[in-house]
Amino acid sequence: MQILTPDINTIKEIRLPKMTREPFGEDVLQFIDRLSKKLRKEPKYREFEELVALGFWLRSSNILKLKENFFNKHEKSIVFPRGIVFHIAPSNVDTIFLYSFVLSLLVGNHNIVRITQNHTPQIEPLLDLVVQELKNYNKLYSSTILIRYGHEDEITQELSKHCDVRVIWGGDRTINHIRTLPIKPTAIELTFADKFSFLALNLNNIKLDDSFFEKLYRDSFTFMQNACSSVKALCFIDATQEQKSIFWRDFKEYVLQKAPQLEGKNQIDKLIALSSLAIEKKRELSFDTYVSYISLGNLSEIDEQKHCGGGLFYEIDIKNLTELFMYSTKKHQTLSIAGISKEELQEALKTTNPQGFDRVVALGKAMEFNATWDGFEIMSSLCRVVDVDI
Amino acid sequence: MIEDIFSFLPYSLEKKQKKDFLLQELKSLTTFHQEHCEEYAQLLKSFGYVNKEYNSLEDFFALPVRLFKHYELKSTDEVIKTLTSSGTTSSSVSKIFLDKPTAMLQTKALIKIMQNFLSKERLPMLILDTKAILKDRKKFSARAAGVMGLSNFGRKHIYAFDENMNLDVDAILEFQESYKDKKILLFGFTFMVWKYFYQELKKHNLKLSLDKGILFHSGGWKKLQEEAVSDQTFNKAITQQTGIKKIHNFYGMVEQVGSIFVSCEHGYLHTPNFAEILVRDPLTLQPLAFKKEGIIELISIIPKSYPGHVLLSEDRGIIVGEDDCQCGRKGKYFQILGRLKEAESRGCSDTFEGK
Repeated sequence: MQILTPDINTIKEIRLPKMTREPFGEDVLQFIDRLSKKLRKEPKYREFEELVALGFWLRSSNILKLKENFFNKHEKSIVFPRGIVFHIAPSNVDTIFLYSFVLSLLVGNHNIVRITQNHTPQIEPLLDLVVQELKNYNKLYSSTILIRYGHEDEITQELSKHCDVRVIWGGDRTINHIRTLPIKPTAIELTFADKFSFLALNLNNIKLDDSFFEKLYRDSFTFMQNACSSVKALCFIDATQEQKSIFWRDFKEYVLQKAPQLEGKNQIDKLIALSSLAIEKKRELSFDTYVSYISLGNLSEIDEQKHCGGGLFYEIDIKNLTELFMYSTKKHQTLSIAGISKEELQEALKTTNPQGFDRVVALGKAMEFNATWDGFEIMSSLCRVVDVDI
Repeated sequence: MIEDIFSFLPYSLEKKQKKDFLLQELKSLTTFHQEHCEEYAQLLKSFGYVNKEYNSLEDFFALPVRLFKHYELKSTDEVIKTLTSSGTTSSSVSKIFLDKPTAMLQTKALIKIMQNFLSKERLPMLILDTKAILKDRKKFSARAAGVMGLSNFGRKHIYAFDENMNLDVDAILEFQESYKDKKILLFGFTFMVWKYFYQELKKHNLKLSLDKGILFHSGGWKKLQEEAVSDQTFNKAITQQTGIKKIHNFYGMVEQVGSIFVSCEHGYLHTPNFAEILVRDPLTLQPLAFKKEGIIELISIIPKSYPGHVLLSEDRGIIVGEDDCQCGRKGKYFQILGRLKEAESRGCSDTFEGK
């Protein structure tokens, strides 16, 4: 266990102020702006796509938009920060902890952030930067606990006692486990469970050029298709066998040029997943180095559990978006769409009452983080609303 | 045809002969399993192996080994024995179904190979394990099966550890005294040989003089690799502490009966007549040339009761050469370099994974 900020050695020494800060305070905005500029400009961060994306998201124009939305939304109500927020971020998307921390900081909370002990090339410079920048703002520095530890329940339990909100960024097993460790009766919890994401596409309205495949590549192969929002299932509307064959041929070729960094175990995992699906669903499949897919008979044959990432796709024919919405479950997060009109989407959304899908985005945007996530407006969820009736 | 192979010495077939022989056997086994195992037939269909022409050993569908943990794959209704993997690192275990003919072939294969390293007579045997593993019926695992299997090649068996895995020094010294200057057989699992035998002897400052001992050990290099003990270090340390000079390592897996690879005097694992090794590129899965590191594929013509004749493992290795090992044995000889690295799961789904 290592406490990065503030200058204390044990969790027993944690003292956080009772008073919270005002939303969108000047020092916080400055701190975020400095982070953004450094991440975007300095070469040591620029070599990591995730850090650049983070820097871009933190830029002041975006933060001001968040501010505006927040105040517009709460124009007629009185809101206060909930107090102390304990963030538990996953060990393998290095930047999530910062998105979560920043949103909470913006609305005025004090924060305890658990950071993984996994050392990756991108997390080290990011942590150094955050600690160094926090030091410029005394009040932020002393009220932010950045703590690095492994899987010690005793630490999680102790930190949970402090918080008014506990934010758990998945996955399912982690959520279930951490929920066995109590929080204060007055505290609340935000959880981001394991999710599965789709692309719905109509090939009749799509030009299969590099720009299209680049977007698809980005939405699927970023994080090696292991993120919740990674495109894993492709739903074809109104496509002929021939159109699909051409699509797969061209996509395979495109990814072959990109040559993403797959590892040996990944190929075996794909073989296992495809073999299992072949045995259970008795369907045709195509196994290839980078892009492998299995043609499922219908949406109900989708098996989220068996999907292992690393370039595995489920191919399904659907009649229209309505069919997909009717089928969707709470496990479904992002729907990327391509070659489908806004009207078609709105019509389908209006006529169905989908169980799932927290996001619908144009192809190419699946990996963009948003302050509204998994159905939560995160900033609002980290505030309490005072009802006044006099 | 299969029976004939046991009338030769186990490392006698040269490249061309061996390939022709294995190719014929694999073709008929593939057809057999296709007709008798529904899941296997479906796999061939889905992966596009129906009506495929098999011209070389590399052309066959290699079943990923882990699949035996998820499905009960078999090509017979007359199962007499079910083997399970030890499953120490994973919650699920492989289930391998043997009928009488396959079980008999497996025994024959083991005898043939062991006789090549031992004499035909049974040797006094020191088992580097505890008798307790045989008592606990629930834990009658790969470990017990391994000890039982090898016990057949020895007589006057003595166990080196008590129930608590403590060194039974008196028993060991008595054994040493009784068979002074005689050939003896020792067997144990690699990690236990290291931890409970070698390290304990060293701790007690006890040097043995089993100069004519022949030690076979198998399984579980993983733990030793974590402690950074190499093959050479292992052998050298054992020789120093016990006097044993002949040390042979086994490589194999419960999922493929008949694939028993034993390391020779020069430290290389050898493929017997009825089994073969291929190495594939971890990314493209294309076959690799000798001396290139990749994923090990195992071939054996023994599995007839279940479709385990061509398996893709999760082990890394290299083929060193063929027919020309200095030990004189024919066939490919190779080295195992460890397990495939766990794919770094870069996603948002496992904050506390590994717990």
